[in-house]
Amino acid sequence: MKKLRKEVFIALLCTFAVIVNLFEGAYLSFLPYGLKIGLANIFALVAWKKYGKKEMLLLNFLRVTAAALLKGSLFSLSFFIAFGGIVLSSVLLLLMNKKSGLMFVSVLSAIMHDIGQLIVIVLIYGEAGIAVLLPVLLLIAVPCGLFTGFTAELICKRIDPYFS
Amino acid sequence: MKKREALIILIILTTAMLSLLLFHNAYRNKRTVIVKDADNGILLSVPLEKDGYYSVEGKVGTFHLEVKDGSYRAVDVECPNHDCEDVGWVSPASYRPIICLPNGIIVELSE
Repeated sequence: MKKLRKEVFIALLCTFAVIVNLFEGAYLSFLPYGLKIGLANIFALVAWKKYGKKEMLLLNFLRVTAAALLKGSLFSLSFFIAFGGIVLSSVLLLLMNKKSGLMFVSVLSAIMHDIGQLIVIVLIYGEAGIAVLLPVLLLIAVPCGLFTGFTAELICKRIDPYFS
Repeated sequence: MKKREALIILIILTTAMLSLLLFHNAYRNKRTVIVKDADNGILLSVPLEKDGYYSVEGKVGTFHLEVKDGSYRAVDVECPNHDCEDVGWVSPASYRPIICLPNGIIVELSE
């Protein structure tokens, strides 16, 4: 029973993440350079905090693949860029201690996500000059990471009763 | 949030701002406008101080560069999309490259 409950919960989180990801890409891209807030990361953080690293990995990779499929084409350029970001931010979440604050972890994972995407872009285009964007990305990643971390904390508080 | 975590985030923020300032100032002392083609061959090199109106032949048509009061822009370019004209006036304080993809022309600042 407990295992089934967990599977259902992970599936629910994954669905939320995919939907939020698509919605954000379509309607919430008001930041310059086509930057996004990274709302989908909220659910990865919730899974990381409430279950563990394995579940977070599963959620992240399912989310990127499903979002790419729903956007129309798997293995397109944007898929590889998103994949690079998700790999680095997942590696960071794997390394982090579970006792750290969610907001802090969220900021670091947003930064790693940006760096991962930049690395993939540099590898694909063979143009290292794009790394000049990194300071701008860092500046925007901090408030966005704080926001997603804060939201994830709120969600964790709300769903706590279901875990006791 | 713990104190140590807030400190690390602050350090990241200050590094980002410092490097932004560094990048911003990197073009302050560059006073020569250089027009290059896609193979990095220099087509035109003019001082920023002297006002002028120059024309360069690109792959599709003629590209015009206007230099005025220490800034420059692309005007009257013969190309399908006119993206390079939309970049507007560029000065060392607000540097960004002007790139005309159809003509294969890049306008940059140099020493």
